[in-house]
Amino acid sequence: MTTFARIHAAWLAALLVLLLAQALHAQADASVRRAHIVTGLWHRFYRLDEALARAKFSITSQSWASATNGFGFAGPWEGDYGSGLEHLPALDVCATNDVIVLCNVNGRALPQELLAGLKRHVERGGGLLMLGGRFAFGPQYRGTPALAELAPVEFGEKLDLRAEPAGLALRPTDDPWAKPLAGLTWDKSPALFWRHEVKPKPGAHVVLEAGGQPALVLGTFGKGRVALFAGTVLGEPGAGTLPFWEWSDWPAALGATMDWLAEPLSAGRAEAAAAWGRELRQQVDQIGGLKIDALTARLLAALPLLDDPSTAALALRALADCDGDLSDTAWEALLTRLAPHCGEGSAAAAEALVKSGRPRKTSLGLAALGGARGAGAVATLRSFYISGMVKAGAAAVSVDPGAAGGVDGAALVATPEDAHVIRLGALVGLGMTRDAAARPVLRTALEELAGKSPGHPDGLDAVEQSFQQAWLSTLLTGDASAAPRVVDILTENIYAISRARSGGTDLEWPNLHRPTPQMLRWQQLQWEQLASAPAGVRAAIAERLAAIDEVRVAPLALAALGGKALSPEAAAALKRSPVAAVRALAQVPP
Amino acid sequence: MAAALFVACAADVAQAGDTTKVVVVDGAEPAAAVLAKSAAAGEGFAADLGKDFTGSLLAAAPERPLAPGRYRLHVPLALAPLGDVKTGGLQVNVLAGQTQRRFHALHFEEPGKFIDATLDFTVAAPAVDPAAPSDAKPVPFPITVNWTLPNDKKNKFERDKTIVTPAEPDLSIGDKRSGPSLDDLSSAMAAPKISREGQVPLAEAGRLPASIAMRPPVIERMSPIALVSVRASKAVYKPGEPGAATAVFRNVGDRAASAEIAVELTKGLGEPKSLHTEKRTIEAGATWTWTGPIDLAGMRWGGQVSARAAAAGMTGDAGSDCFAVTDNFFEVACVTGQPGIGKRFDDPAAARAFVTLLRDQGFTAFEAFFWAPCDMFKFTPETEVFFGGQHGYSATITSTRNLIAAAHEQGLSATVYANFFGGSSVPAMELMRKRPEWFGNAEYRAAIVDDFDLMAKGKLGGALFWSHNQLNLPPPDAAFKLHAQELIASHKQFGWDATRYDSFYPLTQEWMKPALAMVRRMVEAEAPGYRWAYNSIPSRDYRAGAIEGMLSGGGLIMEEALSQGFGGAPPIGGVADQLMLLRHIVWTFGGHNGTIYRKPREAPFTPLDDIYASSAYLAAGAHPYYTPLEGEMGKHNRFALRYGEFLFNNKLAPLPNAKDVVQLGSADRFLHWDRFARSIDLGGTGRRIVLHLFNARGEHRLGASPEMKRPPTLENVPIALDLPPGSRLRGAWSLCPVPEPGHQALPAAMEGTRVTLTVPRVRFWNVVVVDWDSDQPLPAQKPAPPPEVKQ
Repeated sequence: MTTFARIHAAWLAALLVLLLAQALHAQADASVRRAHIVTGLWHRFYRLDEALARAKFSITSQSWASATNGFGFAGPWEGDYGSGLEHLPALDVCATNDVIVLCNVNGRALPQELLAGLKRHVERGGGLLMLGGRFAFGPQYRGTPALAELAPVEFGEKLDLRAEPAGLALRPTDDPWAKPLAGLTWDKSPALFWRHEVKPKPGAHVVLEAGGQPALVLGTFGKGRVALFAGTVLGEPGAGTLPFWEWSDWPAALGATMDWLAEPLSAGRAEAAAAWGRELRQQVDQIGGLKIDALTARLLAALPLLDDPSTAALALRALADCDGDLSDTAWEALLTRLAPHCGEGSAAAAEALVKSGRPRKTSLGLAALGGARGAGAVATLRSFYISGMVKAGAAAVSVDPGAAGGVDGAALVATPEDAHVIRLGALVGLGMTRDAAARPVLRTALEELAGKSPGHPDGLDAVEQSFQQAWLSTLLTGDASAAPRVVDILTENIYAISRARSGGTDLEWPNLHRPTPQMLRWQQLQWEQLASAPAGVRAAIAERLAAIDEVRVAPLALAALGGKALSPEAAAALKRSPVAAVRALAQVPP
Repeated sequence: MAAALFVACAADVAQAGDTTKVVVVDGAEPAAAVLAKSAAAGEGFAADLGKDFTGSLLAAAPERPLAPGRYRLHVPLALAPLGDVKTGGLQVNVLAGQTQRRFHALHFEEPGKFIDATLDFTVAAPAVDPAAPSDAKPVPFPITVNWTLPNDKKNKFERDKTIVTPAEPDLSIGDKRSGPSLDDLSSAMAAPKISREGQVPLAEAGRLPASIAMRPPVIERMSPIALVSVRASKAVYKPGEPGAATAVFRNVGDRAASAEIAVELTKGLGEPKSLHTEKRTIEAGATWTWTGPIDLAGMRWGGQVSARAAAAGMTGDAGSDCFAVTDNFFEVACVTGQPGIGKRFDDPAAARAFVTLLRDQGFTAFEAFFWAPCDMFKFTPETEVFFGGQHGYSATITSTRNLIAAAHEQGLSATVYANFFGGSSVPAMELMRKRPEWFGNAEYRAAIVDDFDLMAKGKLGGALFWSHNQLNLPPPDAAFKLHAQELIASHKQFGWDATRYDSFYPLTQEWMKPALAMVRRMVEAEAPGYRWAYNSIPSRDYRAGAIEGMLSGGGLIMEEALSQGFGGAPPIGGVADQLMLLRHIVWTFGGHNGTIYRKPREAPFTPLDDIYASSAYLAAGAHPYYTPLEGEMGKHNRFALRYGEFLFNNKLAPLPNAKDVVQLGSADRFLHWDRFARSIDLGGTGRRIVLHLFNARGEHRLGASPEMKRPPTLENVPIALDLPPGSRLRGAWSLCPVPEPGHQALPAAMEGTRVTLTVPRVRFWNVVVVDWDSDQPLPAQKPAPPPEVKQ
């Protein structure tokens, strides 16, 4: 059988597995929903975290709006803000999330790549939520073609904010699309005090109005959905008025909207994954294999589809058949998104990757090997964790560091950086085994690393990463006793990111923003794995989360428990949390 | 052959500088006798400054153990050449025990002329350890004199052009940078004999391209009665406030001693008035304190309290403290910046100690910049620990209160920083959310605003990005009312004396003037005497017609562009020009000019730059802002406080016909003397002229003159003034900040309408004050032209 025929046969087998898996796919936790929030000022007033919890979102990421227009200029109301975005992930957020939220963001803050991505995202079924505010909408959105096109409203040529000092009560309309909002406590008259004056486009649906003016407008674009909230959290409510952002049902209203926005991609994910798999196979057949760069570009563009074990197996197979190693970006992304979703069907591809002799492929393969949970996985992972070496071909050759090596069966030397990559993959894999047999290895690793770990510096070095991963993997093997430590580590990471992006601890202007992208990517890797934690540890996670009085812990709680089936113990623990968004997780019906 | 000649001669001078024991004598006269004898005998040596970048002149000890007491080490030193890069950066460090003092090239007035470099030190009574053996060795008491030169390229290049010492023969020919040329070899053949330590006999010093010479030092035992401190109760008094002074004396010797104690008060240029005299015996180790009231009735401007302890045949001790009386502290402002109060002053004692330190440095006020949670809208922190909105500086309510209370206790004033265009950080952003119609633009990073609360949680050290917003146009009155209410509340909570605005846009924003006036009315109604200062570009604000509003009531402008220009090596003449223009604009409107003094004493600036810049500031009536003026060779900050009447009185008017009125000897030697000159009516028939004799070349560039080349000291400078007929001279004085703030009456004669006087000595800068009585103003006094303001 020729090599080509062997590859072709393997692909056919994988496709059959995919189709069978879809047929037999059992109902479990909700599929992982992801949102990226472009965060402007006063975003907490919108209580997005609570809404996301209600809408069963799990993984969130943020970028941050900024405006720089110089010191001390008392400018006019409609000035140009010199806006920008900070900490936009390197990966295309529009390709990797179900819903994108623009929360009080100047349209001019959004880079062209993001704007183009937004259009593609919504066209293919993604959701877009636009929330009003001092810096949103108006001529800046009108003058940004992508936003003007996507929005279900027309924006004004001048500043469109209107003051309503007495407050305008929000009410659902008779529009059929308003039905999900009907059962909320509108009799409390939640009000807004500043609104955008917008004009709904033909075909748009006004589902909330305030004083006869459109407040929440829904629309479609391509296969996707767009919602625009023309209200704002601006203003000072008078005595006896209830601002909508303090209304108890506001998160439910916003959550229902988020749920509606996410539906096309969530519902169609299996079909989309299957279609994607067919397309990928077709491409492979036609071209006779993809180059590694082209393949990883395809994978990165379809990351949400890789949540499914079958699709993950396809992707791993394709990677194993490619020459060359993954780039750092691709490795990080695939370790984050692919590894937690690998299953038994990935075993062969995982082994092939492990034997590739390429550090990053080896790392990914090790993580997938853990997910495949084959016999001997723990032993293999242990071996690679200890050695940190690549091994090529069928013969496992261990080469001393410093010795030269080449391809064609010989081992490649692992540099310290490569060794870390491999060890990290092994640690991830150990967690993915879900096997208590992995715990002794992890315990040993923790003992070795504990003395060397510097704690939470402003950046994360290899030792700290390994230390954190070892703890997380321990939890993922089902050891609930690791939950408090893991939650504390991940909470401290949140603070570390704040320190890095704010500039640190002295009064100069150090370039300490450098660690921020790395730390954000690390956070995503940890959260993606946490989202796949076994059900048996959720109560322990909930218990620890509930003890933390810090609003910033909400996205961590979402990652761990968003959209998950919760035991009564877990739900009870969450209800004790002082953080509203964490409590909201317990209020979501199964 | 040449090398052999050098080696043979080296041994003769090997011991020329060997001084291992320093003579100790009792009293000033014996010390002078010893020094004179050494000088007459030609004792001493000179060290070749071309040998290395560091060297030791003396490593010695007293000839006998020093009993507890006060001592003065006399080290005769001479330096040559002066005004040369080979010696410009020289520093000499004199050490006696634990006490040390630095000398630099500026301490030497003439090349090769010996100065008496003195270091006063105290030997404390040793702690007796009962367990120590009786034959325990005494604690070493080192007496050392070391020198260093900057090891930089220019200096090295110049030094490489000196002769090569025999210890390192280098016969590379033709490379002028690293060794002698044929010409240098010729001069090398004529070189003096140099020891291996790089020393030559004193008589040969002149043959070295650069040298520092030393004669044998001597230790003089002084009276053991030390003046520990003399202090007026406050640095700045308000008119009518009672004054008091304290002088503390201690006997640091090991037996009882007596001294003639005297405490005096001097007001302005008046004669010292005795506050207390007595002969007092103080037991060994004991302290005696005199405290008493000082009569400040009718006093305005500066004065001093002096104290001395004199002992027959022994050098006593003396000192003074300066103070001023004014109802507007801007008149005598020397303002330091005080960010980051933290919780350092939660203990009131720490606050008092800190204020004492500020006062010692000559400051009369501090500005807490970036202190407020919001620079426009929040000056009343809501939590004990809070963070400044602009850059996250931490402070506590308690520390802030204590610091201001301690400042007031000693007569210092407290200024809070503010902005007038919009607010900072979380309070401002929250106000913008509640009142969006108040604001136009904003500059922010949403992530930073979000994380601000982490500082209070101890998770974040400081938010370095300044998020701020800007008022809409036209700004609502309500915003300014809120601002004023916050200032009032903060004044009541903490005791602020003034606000210094960092923003003002009169050129483009007409609304600023009425808004400012409204705020001032509101605040002054609740806090009478509250003061106002502004970051200003005076020429711009003058053109915009806004400076009058800013300076009304005696306000202060803070000007920062001038000293930012120091980095461009400006000529001191140009700096003086700019300062005088600032003065002209600001004084015309009754204000005060606070120009930032941005540390012209760090490399590449030199002590001479520091003295010149300090002199120019004071001569032009500029109050140093943030950084103190020169305080090593002289005491310029204290001089400003003492003699502010002649420097900062903004009623001092230009003397446009100075050259008609004043004939100044060597006039071309004094920088801009005619433009510095001022005159004022003293009330009644009293008249005054103030002259600034600034002995400097205008082309001297700050930060670009490492050789510290300066004109020679001028002696016996004749001055003649032509006064109106019938004038009666009251007096003439010369004021100088070097080495201590002081004045001396000048013998002056009046013949007809002409007054003649002589200023004995002008080294860097002297202020000459001439007072007289006349029914008539000065002849042919023309009105001052309007300020020349360049577009």
